Amino acid sequence: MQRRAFLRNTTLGVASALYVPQRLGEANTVLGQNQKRYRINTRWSQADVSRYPVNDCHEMVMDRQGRILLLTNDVRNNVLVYDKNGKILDAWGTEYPGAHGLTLFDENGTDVLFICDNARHQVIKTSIDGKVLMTLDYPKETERYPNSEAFVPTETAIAPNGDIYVADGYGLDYIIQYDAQGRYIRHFGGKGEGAEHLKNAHGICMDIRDKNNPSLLVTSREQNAFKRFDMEGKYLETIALPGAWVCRPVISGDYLYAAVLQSNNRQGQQSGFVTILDKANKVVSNLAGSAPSATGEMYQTIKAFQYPHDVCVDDEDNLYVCQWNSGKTYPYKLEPVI
Amino acid sequence: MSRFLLIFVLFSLVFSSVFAQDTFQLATPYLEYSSVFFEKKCTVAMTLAEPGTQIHYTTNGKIPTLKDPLYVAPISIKKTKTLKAKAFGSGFYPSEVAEATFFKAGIKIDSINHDSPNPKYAGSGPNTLIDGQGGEVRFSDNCWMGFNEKVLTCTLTMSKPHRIKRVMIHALSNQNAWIFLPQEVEIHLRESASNRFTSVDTVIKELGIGINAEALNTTAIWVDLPRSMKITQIILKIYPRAEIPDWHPGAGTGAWLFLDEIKLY
Repeated sequence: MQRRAFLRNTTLGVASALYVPQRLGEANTVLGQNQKRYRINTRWSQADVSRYPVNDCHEMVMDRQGRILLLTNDVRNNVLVYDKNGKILDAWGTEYPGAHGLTLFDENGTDVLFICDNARHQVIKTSIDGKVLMTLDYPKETERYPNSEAFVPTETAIAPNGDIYVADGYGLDYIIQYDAQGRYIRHFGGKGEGAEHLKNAHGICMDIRDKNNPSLLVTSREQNAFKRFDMEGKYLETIALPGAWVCRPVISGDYLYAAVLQSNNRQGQQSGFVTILDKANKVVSNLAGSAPSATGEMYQTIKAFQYPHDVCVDDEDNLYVCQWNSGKTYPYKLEPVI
Repeated sequence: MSRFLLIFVLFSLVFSSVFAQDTFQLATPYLEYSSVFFEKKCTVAMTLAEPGTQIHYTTNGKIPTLKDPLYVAPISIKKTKTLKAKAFGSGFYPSEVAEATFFKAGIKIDSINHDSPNPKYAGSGPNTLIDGQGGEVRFSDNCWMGFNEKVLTCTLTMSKPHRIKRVMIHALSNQNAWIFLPQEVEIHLRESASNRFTSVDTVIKELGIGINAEALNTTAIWVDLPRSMKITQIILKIYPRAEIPDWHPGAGTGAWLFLDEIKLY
């Protein structure tokens, strides 16, 4: 045993000394704090850039087959489908110039997608392979919209009963609720100074961590906050995240993950990071961001990301982070450090 | 043995390609202070909330290295000088340099009158440019006044005559936000000889402006008078850049001028 261990150490030493002295000695950079630390791999994507080009990489989801779907506004392939090792499995979509929001919904055992297109001013429901199932135009029924251009949807959340909540995050900041057939029910939020109002309602998700009280979490990005509403649109609370231009909330297990587009203190300077909150809405980790503390604004500390735009959490707690306006970079993968 | 070696070589190559290392740069540390303008001293903290990193700093104008003082606690600055700070950490490229110049109080200006700023950027009130507050690069901070007319005329008045040698105008560059340094400053002085205002002098200074779309910083524009003059009133005509340069999306239109303080020394 001793001899074998000695040999292994020797050969490993020789091999690394001869062939890869620097790389083997170092592991990938670890980001984050507390119980949420990750090794970042910026070369996860194996996509050939000449075949599968991307522009802004806006959002990602994992489907029931464990595939990772990426939404980009490059109309040569709006959706790239990856396996968890970064290999391209499929690509589709040429009709979404403003592809921005991607939400996956389990519709009676079948995965369906909701795409928010902020150039088309529409929300499009598709099958998992891109067949169009429904299109929502601007919400005339609200009597708030002079024309379709005023409606610039960024995100959707789908309730278990199929109700569709659309966040008009680059438009009038309303949340518009429809039934599963796309019939208008109500709207709430909107611009204003009240606690219930929103400023850049960039994301929305269902929060069912409290099973008896399902609610909606909505981004108010320019206010550096999430706001909680009940399923009928009644404002409940604000989760302040000083300094963090949070994109959409993503809930997995007990935790909430969000890409932070940029640090408030360094706007327009590629100062993004990723934040993770526990069930009590307390920040437990900032990946490439400031160590959580009770006071002060959060900010980027390591230039690992430029403008992160979404986080996808897979079934093994790996994270995938895709970015807006970041040199057409493909998504990064972050593996948890146990 | 050779088979083991081969296996480990292959393993090493696979390992190194799968886990190829990315080395990232640390973000620029933050300098924390109440204002870059101070009466007696200014206390400055330096932070980067990334465990395992250190900040080294200089006050001699040089770029900090590991040999320069290690930041451990807030420092006091008592003279006009420039602080530079840089973060270092194992496994990371060192940060860019954080920099701020601190200004000891000059001659007391008792009142100021000037053309109105754009109402969106009206600072903290009529005394914004002489209140000793400023130095943030965020133009939305209320230490700044924003102007977008062809010229800004400011009249500074002192309650009694003072000897003046230099004028300092503290301006912002944020070229992404169409904010440029001024193009020209004219100074009209009312010289006080035996308490009589006798003459008006003009000083013109052309200001060089670099092409740098990322430029985001504050600049002290120093204008030396031809000689030390005893005065009670001084009029500044500050000209915003009349045409934004060709390389900028705003080419040909007038630039914004943002000021947070004017000082006399």
